[in-house]
Amino acid sequence: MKLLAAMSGGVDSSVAAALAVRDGHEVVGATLKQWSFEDDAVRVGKGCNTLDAVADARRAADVIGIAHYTFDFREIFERDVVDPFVADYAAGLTPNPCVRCNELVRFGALARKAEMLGFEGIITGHYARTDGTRLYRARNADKDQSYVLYAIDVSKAHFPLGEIASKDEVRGIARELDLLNADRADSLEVCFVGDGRRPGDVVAERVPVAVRSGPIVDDSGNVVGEHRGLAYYTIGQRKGLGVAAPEPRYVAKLDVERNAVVIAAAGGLGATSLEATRPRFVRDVAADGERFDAVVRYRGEPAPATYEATQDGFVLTFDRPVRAVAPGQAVVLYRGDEVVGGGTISNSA
Amino acid sequence: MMVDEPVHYLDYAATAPILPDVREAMLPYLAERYGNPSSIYATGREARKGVDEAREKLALAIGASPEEIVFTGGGTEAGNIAVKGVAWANAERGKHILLPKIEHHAVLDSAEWLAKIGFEIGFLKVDRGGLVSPDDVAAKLRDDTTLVCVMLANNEIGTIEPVAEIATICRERGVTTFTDAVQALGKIHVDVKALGVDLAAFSAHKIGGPKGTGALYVRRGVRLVPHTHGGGQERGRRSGTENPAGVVGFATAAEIVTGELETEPLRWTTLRDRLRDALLRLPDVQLNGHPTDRLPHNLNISVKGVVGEDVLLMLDAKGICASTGSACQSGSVEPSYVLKACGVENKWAEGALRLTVGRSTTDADVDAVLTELPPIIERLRSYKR
Ligand SMILES: Cc1ncc(COP(=O)(O)O)c(C=O)c1O
Repeated sequence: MKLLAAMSGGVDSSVAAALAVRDGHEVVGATLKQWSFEDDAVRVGKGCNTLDAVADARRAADVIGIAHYTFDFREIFERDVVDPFVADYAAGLTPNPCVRCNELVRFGALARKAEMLGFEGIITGHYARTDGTRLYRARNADKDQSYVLYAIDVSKAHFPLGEIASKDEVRGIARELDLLNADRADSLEVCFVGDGRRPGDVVAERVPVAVRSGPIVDDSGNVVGEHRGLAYYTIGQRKGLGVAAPEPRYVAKLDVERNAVVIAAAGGLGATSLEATRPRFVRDVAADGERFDAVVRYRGEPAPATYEATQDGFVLTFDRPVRAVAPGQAVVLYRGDEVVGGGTISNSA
Repeated sequence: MMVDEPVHYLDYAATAPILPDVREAMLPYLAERYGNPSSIYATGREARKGVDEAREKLALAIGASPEEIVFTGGGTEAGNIAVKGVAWANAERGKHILLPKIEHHAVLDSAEWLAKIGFEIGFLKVDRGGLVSPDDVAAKLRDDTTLVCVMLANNEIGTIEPVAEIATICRERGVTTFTDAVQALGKIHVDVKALGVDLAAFSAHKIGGPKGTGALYVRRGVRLVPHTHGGGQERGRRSGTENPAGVVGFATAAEIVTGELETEPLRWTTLRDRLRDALLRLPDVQLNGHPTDRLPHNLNISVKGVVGEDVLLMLDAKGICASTGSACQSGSVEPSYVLKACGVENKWAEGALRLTVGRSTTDADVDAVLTELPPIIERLRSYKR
């Protein structure tokens, strides 16, 4: 098949492209220029977006022996990923930009461009599996990234790493192929935030009024400290609150109206149900009363829950209370290893 | 694309394949004639001889005297030395510089950098075809204008500028003129004395010479402050050990291409016109640049409803090498600043495609484009963006 490999310059996407070549596909590599860092000091060396990343991807393509192009996706990325990310944070939500990026950029705009250019599909270095109609967790459960893929159109997706059992195997293949970045660590940061920076910094730059310091209050309404701006906090967060208490306190709620961070002891954190919007189903829409294993954050534990559709999404009722359900994050519905669909958490109770 | 498929190279404005005679002429300087041209012993003297002869040959090719040639590390460096060097040398007299927005970035960005450190840039108008008007130059000259830059031919649209007329106007006003002749050399007759300019930039790789080698013509008596200081080579205007292999290759290429000016350009024009006439017959395709005052090998068209870069990728898959014309750095799809300066609307400018033919181009290359390009355009247009 004629496939376009989205290459970030990191080891995973490079090996994915190489494996597709090895499988006999006709592969061309492409790196998306998604973001320009104004300031060299925050220009990360490993994210998806930097010139270094483009150079690494090009070198990897040279080593694999495939053509490589760079596409300017800055406008699309800004519109579909960065702007909503900033707006969500400003609204007291905790977004997952990778979900939108995969849905709208990689398997959205890029897939459409690839099709237009005559490619039959897109290769990425994600750890997940698909047969073109369904989506499954990766063989290597530790690496599984199916959580950030629930919203994509899988019909054009190829994930060569999904079948690989261990990360070491990927590094081994990288070394075998003489891929220069075989030993480079992958970044876990949000790619456009920059090294040593926090998502709140990006929000503060763009919407300064949304990032103001304010009170930290406990569940009885007493002011117990001061926060730097809601965008620096996530529900379930324990560290960095600067609040002295006999037992650990966690962020329970981000109250935009009062610009307050509400904290609670561990016991006060559990949600028994959640509401979600922007529903996406890989193949078949779920039925009311259907049972799923729900995952509410990247690498989160599955929690058994019952599904019920609403007008603009669905409600999940958990069998047992689930901690740190953060509005803005994705909830993904699994049936065993299969990803059935998911949505964006709008509320929890 | 498989390596053994035929390649149709239609991007001579980007660079030209190294001529076999050029490679031959360079080889001794990459082997036994390794000496430093400043050294007194035999291998050094041989290298010196190579550089001296190259200087004479290049001077002859452009109508200059050998001592007016400054070898550089390419066209970009020549442009930088000219613009900054003249501006600095005349800074006490004035700080006003005139140029059109369609100059190559080597010149444009040098001027813009000067503007940041206290110089003033005035932009010359260009018409839809990319032509600068001598009247506009005359009208914009001021008492504190020290430098006028107008390229001899534009790299994207191939428009040939009325440089001789402009130089005459400037000379009468005591203003220095610089022309970027990188694209013109070997395509049209270039005689720096007839043009009447004070400085002119050239590049070897556009004419079948090696990359990273160029030259600046500096008329005797022109004031220029160097910006590379060191061993005083090139009469102190560009210090650094000379590049004998490079300049010998450059001069050899210059000699060959200027010797073919009576025959080759006519052949290119025939090929180019065949491409032009066939492509302009397609719906919603228009010509960019000037209909007549243009380089003989340059075609630049806009295809409405497509993005030029997409066309290039699909042509690449068919072994056809072309360009959008703009120096697209790491995949930027900003429409061409040259077309913008000419007043071409975005919806046309984003579909720009430049095809430039040359010495190796044959009817088979033109046929390949005419076979492959129309279906590509049709396909891309069928996808709504
Ligand atoms: C008009 C013009 N000026 C200057 C240059 C720069 O020359 P070089 O590539 O030798 O630095 C080029 C080519 O890229 C050009 O087309």
